Amino acid sequence: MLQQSRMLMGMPITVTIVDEKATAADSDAVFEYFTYVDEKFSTYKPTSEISRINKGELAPAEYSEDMKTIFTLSEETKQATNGYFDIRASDGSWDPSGLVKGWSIHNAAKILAERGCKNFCIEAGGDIQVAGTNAAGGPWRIGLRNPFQHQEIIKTVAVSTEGVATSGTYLRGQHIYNPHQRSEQLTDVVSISVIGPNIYEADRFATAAFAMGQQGISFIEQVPGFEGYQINHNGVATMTSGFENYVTNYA
Amino acid sequence: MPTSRYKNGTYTGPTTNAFYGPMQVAAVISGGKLTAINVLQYPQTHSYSIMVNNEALPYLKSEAIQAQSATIDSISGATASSDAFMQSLAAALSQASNG
Repeated sequence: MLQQSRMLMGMPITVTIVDEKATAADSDAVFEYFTYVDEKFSTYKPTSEISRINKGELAPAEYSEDMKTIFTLSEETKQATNGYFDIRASDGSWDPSGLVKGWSIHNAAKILAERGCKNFCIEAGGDIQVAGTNAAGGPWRIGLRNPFQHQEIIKTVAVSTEGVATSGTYLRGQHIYNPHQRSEQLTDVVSISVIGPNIYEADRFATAAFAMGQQGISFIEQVPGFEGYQINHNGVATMTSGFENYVTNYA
Repeated sequence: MPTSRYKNGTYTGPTTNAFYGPMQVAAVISGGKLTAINVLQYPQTHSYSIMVNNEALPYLKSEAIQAQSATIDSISGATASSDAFMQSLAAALSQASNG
């Protein structure tokens, strides 16, 4: 089994490949791709394409193909989430990072598949795409982190083709504000984990559902092919009706 | 740790990259202890409007979360923000340290 971790895009990224023939060249290809994505989409880098767009240096016709793709997907996601997912910040600039993370993990999984890898797990900042089986030959076992005690897990789900994403706050709500609506405290939902057909889908719906507050889990319940587990500030979780099909209890 | 380790005051950490956006915290020390952490900047997807149809929803099951021990391959959690949070807090606390 090959396992490599790097800090990229401001977060730890871990690539695990079970296939016997896998080499460091496979994980390197993934890390190179994330480096490319960071250079293009980081709003922290003044030379990135997104920063140049926000400074008015590039006209839409000059956007790269990947940038055009992200803008198209963002508009589609905005529609699919009742306007709850929007990459336009309150100051009018574009910040597509909420979409780029899941999209790039999804693309990294495609890169591994094209290289002939069949059994792997890519985890970037707590968002995960798996394929095939784990080292023991079974489904991948993903723990959901306790938002109140980071050393603990509070649920384990078994997946073999799906993506798993969690959107949430770090602290209990009272000190956390939506920077775009300072008067509105985020007090109710601490985190929501979403299982979807792939990490791109899981991540964008987890992000939108979290922004919806208490109604997020109801939203996920209504989207076919998705399951979710939402945790409130008082430690009570609410799950979608098919979530337990993924839960595994054996140690 | 000894309570005299930190000097009283409010110490603002640097803005760190949580990828989804900037994260910045301030550590409040009183009586030589860390008494509050104020989140000054936090990455958050913006919200506009919501229309969820609650009428057709089945009853959703709830439970109290419980720590479990299980063999796992990977962990899903909101770690992108927490890593940036810890970086900003560590820097704020180092300013508060008596050295």
